[in-house]
Amino acid sequence: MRRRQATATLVSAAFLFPLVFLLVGALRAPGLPPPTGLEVLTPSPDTGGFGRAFALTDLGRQLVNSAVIAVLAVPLTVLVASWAGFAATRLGRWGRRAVIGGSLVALLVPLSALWVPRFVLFSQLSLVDTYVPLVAPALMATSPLYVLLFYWSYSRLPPDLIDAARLEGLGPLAIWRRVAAPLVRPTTFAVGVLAFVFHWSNFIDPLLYLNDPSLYTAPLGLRQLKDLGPTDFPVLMAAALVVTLPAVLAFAAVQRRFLSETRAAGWLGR
Amino acid sequence: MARALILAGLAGALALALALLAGGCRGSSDSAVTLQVFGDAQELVAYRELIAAYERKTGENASLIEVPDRDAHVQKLTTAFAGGSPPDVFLVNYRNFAPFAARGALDAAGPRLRRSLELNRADFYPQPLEAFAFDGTLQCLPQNVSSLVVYYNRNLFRQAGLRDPEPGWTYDEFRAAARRLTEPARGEGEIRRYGVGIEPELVRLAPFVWSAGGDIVDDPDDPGRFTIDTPEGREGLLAFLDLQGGDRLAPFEQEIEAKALDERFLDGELGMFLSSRREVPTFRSIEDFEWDVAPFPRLREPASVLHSDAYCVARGDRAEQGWRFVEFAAGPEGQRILARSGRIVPSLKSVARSRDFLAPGRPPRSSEVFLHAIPTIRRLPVASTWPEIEEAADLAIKRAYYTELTVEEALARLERETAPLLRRARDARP
Repeated sequence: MRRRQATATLVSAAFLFPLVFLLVGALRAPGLPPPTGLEVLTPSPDTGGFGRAFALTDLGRQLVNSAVIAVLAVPLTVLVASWAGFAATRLGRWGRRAVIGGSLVALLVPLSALWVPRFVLFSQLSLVDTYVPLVAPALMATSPLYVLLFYWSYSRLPPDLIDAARLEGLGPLAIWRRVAAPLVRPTTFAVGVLAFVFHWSNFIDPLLYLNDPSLYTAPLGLRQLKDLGPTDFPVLMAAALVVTLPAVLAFAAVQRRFLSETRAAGWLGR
Repeated sequence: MARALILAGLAGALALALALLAGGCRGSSDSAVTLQVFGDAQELVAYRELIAAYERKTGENASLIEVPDRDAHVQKLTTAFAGGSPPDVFLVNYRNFAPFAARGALDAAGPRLRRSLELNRADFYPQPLEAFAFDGTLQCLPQNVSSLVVYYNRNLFRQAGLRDPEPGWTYDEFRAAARRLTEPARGEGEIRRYGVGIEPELVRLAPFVWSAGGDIVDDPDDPGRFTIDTPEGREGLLAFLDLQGGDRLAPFEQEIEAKALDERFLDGELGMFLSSRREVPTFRSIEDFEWDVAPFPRLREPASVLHSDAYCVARGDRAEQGWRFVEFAAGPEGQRILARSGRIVPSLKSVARSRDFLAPGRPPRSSEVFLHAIPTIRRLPVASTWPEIEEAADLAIKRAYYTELTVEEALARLERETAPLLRRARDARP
């Protein structure tokens, strides 16, 4: 038990290190030359970088814009992925193989190969410079991975349970809503967090589709700050910390539900 | 839980539908001419002023697409062109416009300039006009005509007992000054002061090679191979590499990563810094010391390398509207706005000789150095694969500059990695 705890602490420390580096960098005074070695503690913490980050780019508005996209896209992604994953488990053997195989193939397609065809589509629909192209992937569950995650979770539920519900006269939507979905909550939360991180940190789609600076999202603002000189790196670090914080908070909020649900849901420990 | 998810998802779908409707109604702003540029905060301020001036003068709408950096600018342009929805006008360097011209994506500026009642070809410096020609036709209208110059810290020059560089100064004088300005580190962790700073890139190396009497490629209009391996080319290459490898007159790679060259110059830790006009707006914030610009030093003959951007108009229904904007932006009024920001050396002779550019009373006091260099300016080749060629060349030059490759190894690598790209460019020519 003690060894497990030590291992867990070590692994956590490895993942925590970039965040500590971010925090230390953000608290360095802008204008000072960068440290020559690894700096674990800032000698004299300064929050000037935060003020400059918001002054140099419209970071406040960009954060709101990113939040609007996440609020629209994340629930839609989770809903569609959950429906698609559940529907896949109800298909016959060959249908299921085709859908899962198709999803795996789709997962292998590099995103860059889709930039131009998608741009053509949205451009033809006069939807460039709107948030539609940024939210629309949620209608297709954002990524095949999320559908597969739900599929694997639903396929671990006992078939008898679903059959019994059907004999009770429940339709597919009612079975999903009242029986299946409550039993895969950990997956729902996990996909929710993954989808949030995807949409929150999406740089390429806002770059390609947005022209009006008032619609820009936080990753675009961060990239603008990247061009500052090395002595201004605390400004970039401060902005990066502000942009990272919602993702960290989202995970922290959900991981408790995720862990307690995992322990409680006997199906996953089967 | 599931009910909440359905509600949230449906709310998202509803919002998306509303956004679709809103998107469909965005037609009102479609009439605005769009200009895509990238740049730092100060440059963007000047472009916003340009857009406002155009709207005031013509009563037409215009909008600025601000992109964070050069890579994002090219990526966005490439996708937008491939998707058939490019900006009406975009600003691009002559080393990067050829891929667009080769695909027939540009509305050629040459015929429009001939017909223009606002602009006259003879009013522009000829060097950038030649650089923006593809297959004999002018494609984009140059906004500026900058070149490589030496920014120097006058206070450090005086402290080292050096006089301001003379107009025709030589490489030996430049090197001697760099040696006098370089100060060894005094203690552990101390930042050493260097005499000179230059980025190890092909565009920086080129004037060394030309000044030594060599050539970068066999034919700048249809490059077949690099020719830096000639005796003259090698002389120029060695003069460039010796700044770092010989007496360590310039900062090493890790030192530049810790603190960039422009930052070092700003902080008075670099005696001389070789760059184009782009540094001026930032350097005007220097209060602690005096600085000025000097011409690129000559090895045998005077030379410098062209740095120039131009307004390109995307081919299509909106080209006429785009050209009207270009006539304003590249015309005297538009160039004056950009010249006042300090960022550009105007491509129009009248504006370049005006107080808007020369700005008496504001540094650099020798701004005319940029104008005197124009007759000696040479350009890098224009080829459809040139951005990739330059990327490969930069890597070989960088490794040689930081002494990881010998001159022979660097030249062999340059030849090996650029040959297929040069062949591809030749094959793509009509």
